[in-house]
Formats: sequence, structure tokens, C-alpha cells
Amino acid sequence: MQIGAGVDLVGPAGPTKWASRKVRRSARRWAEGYILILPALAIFGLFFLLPVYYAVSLSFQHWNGLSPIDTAVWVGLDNYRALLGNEAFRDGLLHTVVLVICNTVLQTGLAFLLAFGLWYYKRRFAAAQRLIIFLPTVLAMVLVGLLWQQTLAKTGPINAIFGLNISWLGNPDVVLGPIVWMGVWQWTGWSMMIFLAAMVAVPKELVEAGRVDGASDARIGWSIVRPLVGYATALVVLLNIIGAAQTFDTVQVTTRGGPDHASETLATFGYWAALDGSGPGAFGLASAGSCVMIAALMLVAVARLRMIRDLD
Amino acid sequence: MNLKKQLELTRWGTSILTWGWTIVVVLPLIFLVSVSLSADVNQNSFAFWIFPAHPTFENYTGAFEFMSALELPLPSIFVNSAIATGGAVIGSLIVSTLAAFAIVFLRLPGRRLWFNVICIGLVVPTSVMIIPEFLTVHRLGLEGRPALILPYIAFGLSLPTLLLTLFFGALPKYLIDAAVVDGVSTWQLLTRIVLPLSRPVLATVALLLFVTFWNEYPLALNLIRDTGQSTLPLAIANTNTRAGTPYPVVAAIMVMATIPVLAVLAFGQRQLVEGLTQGGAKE
Repeated sequence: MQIGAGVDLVGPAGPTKWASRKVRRSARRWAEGYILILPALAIFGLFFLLPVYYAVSLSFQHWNGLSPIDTAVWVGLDNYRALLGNEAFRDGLLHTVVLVICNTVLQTGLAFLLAFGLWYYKRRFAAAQRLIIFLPTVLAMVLVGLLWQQTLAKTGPINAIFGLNISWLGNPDVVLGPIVWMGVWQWTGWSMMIFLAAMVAVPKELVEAGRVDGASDARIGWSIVRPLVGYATALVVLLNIIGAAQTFDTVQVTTRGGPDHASETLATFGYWAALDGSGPGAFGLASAGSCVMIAALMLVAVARLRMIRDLD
Repeated sequence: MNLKKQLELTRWGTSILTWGWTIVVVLPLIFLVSVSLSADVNQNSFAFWIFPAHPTFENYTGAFEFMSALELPLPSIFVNSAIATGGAVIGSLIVSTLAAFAIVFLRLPGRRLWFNVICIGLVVPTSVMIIPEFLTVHRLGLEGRPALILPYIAFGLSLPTLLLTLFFGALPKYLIDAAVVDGVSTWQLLTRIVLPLSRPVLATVALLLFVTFWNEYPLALNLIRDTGQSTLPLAIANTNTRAGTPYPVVAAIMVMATIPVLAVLAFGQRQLVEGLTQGGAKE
């Protein structure tokens, strides 16, 4: 689970409600505020902002991770040029784009249908279904990866049920399918919960009015409920994009990006390029890859903030 | 007639879909539990995956022996996970509570800047940061548990700071003003008035952070140098890739490792879901 992903990014202006002036003035010593915020800023600076800085600076250098870091050589844009020519990186980029598109579309669509079905028809067992569908959200992604590795094994239940004999994770032509599937299996329930939380706020009168006017259930879902939960849809889409873009655990524990980079993602590329025994041990290259991804995610976030503003 | 048909179609379609997805979610979990209870996995039949052939707990007891033989005793892995998770949750909660309190209630020039800086952490996930984080810990010369827990806190503090800042800002003003008129100190304002009012949101955040760090893998993989300090996800992943590890044993460990988060889901479902879905309903 991505920390903080469940929470909407702050609106464009951030929170507007501070305590009243009187309260703030009452803090006699001006230093009090800084003393209390210091631990957070120090830890965040040291272990979040400093790493970003190191990554950016190392992305312009050559370093093998073994020699002292002072001996790293400044190479300008070489690492970024090398990235473009690196097949593993190009594979990782392509696969990450595929994962983002497939997972976002599948998870968002499926989650909306599930949420609508559970919310609109007040059926028995809806609460139990909701809980079960949500359950994978709290599981470790490592566990999800290993679970499906076994379920999809050559002699595993999926091949047995469907009478197939496919090496799902060993065949470069199909391996991306299971990786997409693991994300859909785990995160659809989370998106569904966000839709459900939004649907609770849909005014009953509007749905009733639609019904009186003779709209079908599908029409009510598409033309009344869907626009009213537009905000939740935007949030779900953003969360699914960020979630799919960071795919690492499920790949690392099942295929390590293989076979022959067929399931490499941008995140596993970074690990492979710098730290994996079979990789080139090129920290500069890996850092350049990280920088590309951080920049891309920032862009997604900015686009998202724009979207919120437009919805307002 | 046509309308009637359509009505029924949506009704049946969504019913089949929700039940179908429920089964899709549950089946692999049943496979997992079933395998962990099976004495013999050399069977290639579907029924075996649902009903353990000869139900037994020996994989669970075997898991302890197996891991001890690898010099990764299971109890100490659980302790490692508990320390890393506990340290990260408590650390994140403390620093973010202080930060949010300062942002909302104290004189703090540049508050919006500091707040926005901390919120950057909401966008960048851990798996993107593994190489930069590895470099930083390496350069700072950190070792042992702090090398994992401090980065965890850095990644864990953005969300609580955001949530608590919003929550503190929405507290009834007259309560705070009255307290200040009565002349409470800053510390009393925090501990006597603000914190007691914030219990629900603190609980929500603590549960979210707990689940996150209990399951965290990418940073653990990169930052834990001493295998004796492996957390559960790391130990499970490493054990699974070792040649000759019997899968039922791994399955048994996975089931045991999941119990704490299932307990969270069972007892804190409402808060957890609330925390995970915030922002979905626009108020």
C-alpha cells in the first residue's frame, strides 16, 4: 500500500483554517513553533529530500557502488543518453505504461460496477461481499505475488481448472498478464471502497426522480450516479496510476523482471541496474531512471491538482 | 417490456459480477490456507487445492524448525517486524502531531511552505526511491535498525501531518480560544485539549501506518544489510527463492504473517476504511 495514497492531495491552496490570531499570538516565544515542527522537517529533509538530491546529482555521474563515492566521475547527460539506449530501461518504461493503462482502466471500471451493484441493490450479504472484496488491500504485495505465483504455477490450480499447461510467469509473451492481474486482484476492492464512500453521499431524491421518470437501472447508474461521484472517479484514477507506476514487489518476488526483462518495470529496473547481481552495477544509470520516474509522478500530481480545480 | 428486461439485466449482471469477484478474491486465499495445512503437495488435482489432502499443522511447526535451520528463527523475524513497524508508526505519529500542532496553533512564519514541503511525500512512492534511499543511508553511514526506521518515518509522516492539520484546523474555535483565555501553556493546549479531541483521527492514522509498514518490502530489501534483522516480507521473499524450500512451509509463514493485519481489519475496519477512502466523498 502506498502511504498517503488514500488521501486526496490537498486542494490547490492547502487548508485554509488556521487557529485564530489570538491563539497564535498567545504562543509567547516565537521559537516554539519551529521547535515543534523541527523533528518532522529534519527527518523529512534527511530521508526524503536529501535522497532526491543525491539521486539527481548521481544521475550526472558514473559510480559502481564499490569504490568510494568521491571517486565518482562527472559525465554530464551520459546516463540519460544511456537510458534511452538501454533495452532493459526501454522495456521497463513500455511495461510500466502498459501496467498503468491496463490497471487503471480495469480497476476503475470494475470497482465502479462492483460499488454500484453493492450500493444500489440493497442485497443480503452486501456487507460481507464488500469486506471480502476489500480484504486483499491489507495483504502484503509480497504475499500477493507469491500467492499468484503458486496459483499460476504449471501444476497449479488455474492450469488445472482450465485444463491448460501454460508457464504463466516463465513465458515472455504472457508474463505481463499475471503482473497486471495481481494488481487488479489486490486493488480493485480499495477503489470500490472509495466509490462506495462517495455513493453514500448521492442524494436519494435524485435517484428516486430518475426512477419515477422511468430510467432503467443502468441509465441511473451511468447518467445520475456516475457524474455525481466524478470527484471519486478522479481520485481513483490518480491512485491507480500512481499505484501501477510503482509496481515493484509483485514482480521482484516472482520474476525479478524476467524472463529476459519481459516483466521489467521502471521500479525493478532501478534495482536491477544498481544492486542486482545480474545487473551492470551502475548507480548513475539507476539514479537517472529514478529521476525520470520522480519527475513523471510529479507531473501526474500537478495534472491531478489541475483536475481538482476544474471540478470545483 | 423492453424497459423491464433492461432492469432485470442490470440487476442480474451486477449480482453475478459481485458474487463472481467475491469468489475470485476468496479462492486463492483458500488455496493458500489449504496448502499450508497439507501434508503432501505432490498432487495435481484441483480438489487438493481446496481441501487439504491430509489436514495437519506440521507445516506450521515445521516452519519454525525450517527457519531456525536457516538461522532466521521465526520468532525473531516477528520481533524485527514488530520493532520496525512499531518504531515507524510511533515515530511518524509523534513528529507529525507536533508538526501539525505547530502549523495550526503556533506562530510559525512560512507555515504554508513547510506544510506544502511535507505534502510532497504523498506523491512519491517508496519503490521509486529505493536507490536514492540506499545512497543516503550509505552516505550517512547509518546501520542497523535506525537505517530502516528513520526512512520509514520520513515516508510515514506526510499523511498524518496532512490529516492532522486538516483535523486540528476544523476543531471548534471557541474551545481553543476559551482555553487560551484561561491561560493554558502551549504544552497543556496540546496534551489536555487538542490530543484528547483527536483520538479517532489518531487511531485511523495509526492503523493505516501499521498496515503499510507491516507489509513494506522495497525499502526493507534495500536497507537491511544484516539478514538477522529481516522483517517478515523480506524473510518470506528470500526464503521462497531459496532452492528446496517447500511451498507449504512458506504458505504457513505467510498465513501467520497475515494474522496481525487481519486483526486490524477485524477490529478497526471502520477506521481503516475511513482513512483509506478519504477524499472520495466531497464534503
